Amino acid sequence: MASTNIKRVTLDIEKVKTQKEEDLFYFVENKTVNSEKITAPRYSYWKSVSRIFFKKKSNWIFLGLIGIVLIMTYIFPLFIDYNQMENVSNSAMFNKSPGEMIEKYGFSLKWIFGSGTFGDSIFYGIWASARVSLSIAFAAAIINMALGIVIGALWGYSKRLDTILNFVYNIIYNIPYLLLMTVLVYVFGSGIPQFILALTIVGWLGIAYVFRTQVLIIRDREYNLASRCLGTPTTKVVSKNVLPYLTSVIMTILAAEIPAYVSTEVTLSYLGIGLSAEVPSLGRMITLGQVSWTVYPWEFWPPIAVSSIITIVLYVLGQSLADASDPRTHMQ
Amino acid sequence: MKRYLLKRIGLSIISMIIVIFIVVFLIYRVIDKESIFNQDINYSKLSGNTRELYRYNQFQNSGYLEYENFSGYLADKYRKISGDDFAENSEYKETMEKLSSKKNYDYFNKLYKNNNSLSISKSRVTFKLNSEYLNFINDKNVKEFYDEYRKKGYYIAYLIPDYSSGKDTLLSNNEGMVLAINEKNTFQRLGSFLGSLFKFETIYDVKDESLKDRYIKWIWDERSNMPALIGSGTTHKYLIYFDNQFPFIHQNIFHLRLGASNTLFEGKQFTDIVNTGTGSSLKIEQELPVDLGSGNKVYDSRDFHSVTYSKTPSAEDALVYGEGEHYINAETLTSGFSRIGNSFVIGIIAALLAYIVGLPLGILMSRKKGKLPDKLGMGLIIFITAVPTLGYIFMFAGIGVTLFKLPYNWSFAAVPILAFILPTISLAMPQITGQMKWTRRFMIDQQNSDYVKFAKSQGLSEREIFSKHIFRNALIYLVHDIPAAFIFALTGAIITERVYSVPGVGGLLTLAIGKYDNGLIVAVTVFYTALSIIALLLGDLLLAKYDPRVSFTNSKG
Repeated sequence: MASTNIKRVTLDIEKVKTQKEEDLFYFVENKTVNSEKITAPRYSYWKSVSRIFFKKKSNWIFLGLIGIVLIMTYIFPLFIDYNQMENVSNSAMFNKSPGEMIEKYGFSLKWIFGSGTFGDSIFYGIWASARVSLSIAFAAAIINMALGIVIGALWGYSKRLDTILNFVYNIIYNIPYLLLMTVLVYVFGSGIPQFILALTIVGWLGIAYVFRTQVLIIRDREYNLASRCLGTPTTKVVSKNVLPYLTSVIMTILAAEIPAYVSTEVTLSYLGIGLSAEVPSLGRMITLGQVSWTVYPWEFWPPIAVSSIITIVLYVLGQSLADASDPRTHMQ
Repeated sequence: MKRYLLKRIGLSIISMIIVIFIVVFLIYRVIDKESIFNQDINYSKLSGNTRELYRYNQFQNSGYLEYENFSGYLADKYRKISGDDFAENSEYKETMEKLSSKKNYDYFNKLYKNNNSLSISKSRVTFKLNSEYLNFINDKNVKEFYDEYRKKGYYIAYLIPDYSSGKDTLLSNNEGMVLAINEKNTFQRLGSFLGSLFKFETIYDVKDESLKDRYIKWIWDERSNMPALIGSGTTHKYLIYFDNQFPFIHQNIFHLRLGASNTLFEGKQFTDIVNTGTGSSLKIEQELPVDLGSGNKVYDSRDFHSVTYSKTPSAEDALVYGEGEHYINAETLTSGFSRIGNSFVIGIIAALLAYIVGLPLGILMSRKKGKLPDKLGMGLIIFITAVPTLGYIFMFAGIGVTLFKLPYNWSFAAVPILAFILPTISLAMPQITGQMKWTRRFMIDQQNSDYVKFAKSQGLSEREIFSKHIFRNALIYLVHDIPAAFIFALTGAIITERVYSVPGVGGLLTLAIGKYDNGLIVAVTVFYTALSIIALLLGDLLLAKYDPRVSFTNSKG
């Protein structure tokens, strides 16, 4: 890299040499008024965020994908009638491959992935399950983020709270995450509210800790000190100086958390301690499909693929949004 | 440094105790204890007081309470007086009849009808005995039992007999029963857990009055041709011995008791469970204890170093172990590693792979930032981070099974060593990408620092800057996690072991949860947490050693 720099510098000198002298210099009059003016382009935080975000072509694709995922999980199930037990008494429908189903019924969306262990539609099942899994993830994310941000901000500001919460954090941090979740879900039971409770009872702590560290860093930055010295009101300092910086932190956490909750649900349901049997969820579909995944691959791979697509899209989109919401990228 | 170390260890122990307290509280207090009957087939088949007794028995097995049955107590008492015909003893008969009498039924049933809350059990009419009820029952044996167990802190429950309505016939399975019950609170549980955590074997361990000769001494062990420390009166005979099995030196003096299994392994200690060999039994050519030293070798699958004391050896045992030998019950030798061994082998290779593969790749990515290797690496990192763990494990399994014909299920592997491959890869992959992610992150952070710009301005070569300056500084951040990476090799991975049915430590937790094995759940949790705390402690110390700027003598750290 060093050698290319030297090359560039020599090139610049060559270029300057060839230009005429009057192109290089012009006279600037001395005006006292101008020196009082601070000129900078007009800056709007959210406009810059959307400008940076939409500049990237791949983000359009991911936005489209998330749109499809959300429509399929929240709107599509309203128009279909999914019942896990619809063919439970008809063993001729059990474990039929997509090919067999198309032969029997012609091409239909319902049997595009074949039928499951109890003759239910895999395709419909996936979206009914995705709705449960995603809703749990969203609910847990909202609760954890709200608690984490509020408590984290207080934690960053209050000395007394700092000692107490640090002690709590150090203890909880010692327990491996999956183990903690396993024990909590086992303790609380297997309903959806209980599952969300298990995810949130200590989930906010990690978020609050990250947030507390960020608040500590930003609070005493020089530009905040300068703003305060210049007499900027606290509300303006918080909204213009601190919050934009923290927005990107929030987005970064959110981008990692939502896929993590989906993943936790899938994992715990697979381990047999997640949601109860009558609740369709991606974890349960994978668990059911896993029993004979080499024999009936169509029962197993579609839920894995869909859950992977959902988490990847959410993760990548969140990361891009986090990048775009970081004010330091707005200067480009 | 010394003061910091002591403080740090002290804090670790305190947080360990708090974690145990929380776990014990959650498991024994928050969970509805009736849930242990959810999958119990026997429970629904029973009825009446027999079922109630079964309930207490299951509660005892799951560690919720301890109880003593009065009928057993009474039988023991009259066996001493009348021998095996104790049931014919008139006093015994009288007491037993009183317990199931119609008079008691009428009295307590009437009390119960007036006030439902008097019954301490929801499923059967059960009274907590006090002096008033005791006077009504008016039996000296019950009184004796009551006094004895009240002193020990138990409460006495009376399961009243049940008669068919309006008639004088006692319903079957509904005889009256008296139980002494001791329900521990969380603090008592914590106390007894910590109290029995460490156990050293002594020559007074065997409770057998006929054993007079108690000693511990060094002998020459003819089985392995090495010295061995043996004991008499200790639970194990061989306290320290050497053999050709990993880890070559074995001891039975010190035992760490993290808790016993309640249902899954019926009373076995966690440490024994994870140290027991897995796989099929293995016969080796060896001498039986009875003709040790004679050179007469047979094929036998017992590990004769593992013998424990038994009060009443059978005639068959005498043929193998010798006449009058009380140290019998040898464990079976197996072809596979122990549970902890399986987890450890998989874990340690995965951790090594993370450093051998992940570290260079991370460095490569940081050097080629924004170019193809970096983009490919980031793609992999995003894939592993975002896709549910189960998703990519099965993707690896699918590729391995279909393309490379690798064994998927542990127990069906034709060549046992091949069974290690897929679990190791599945466990290593997230560790490798994690290593790549953080190495890249720290290397890039360092690239922007002033000393790198200075080094560049001084004309140092790229290679030199990377290897001598950036990498060493980036390593400071990576060094903290090295102990954790290797210590967690011991714990095994919960999901990976479940997917490939690996008989390891990680799978133990889910097995225990499936069987409501509270003791084992607590033990596994404590084990994992203890390792995690030790790893953090070692990481901090290593960081202090490696980075001279970190000073622990200063309170600011």
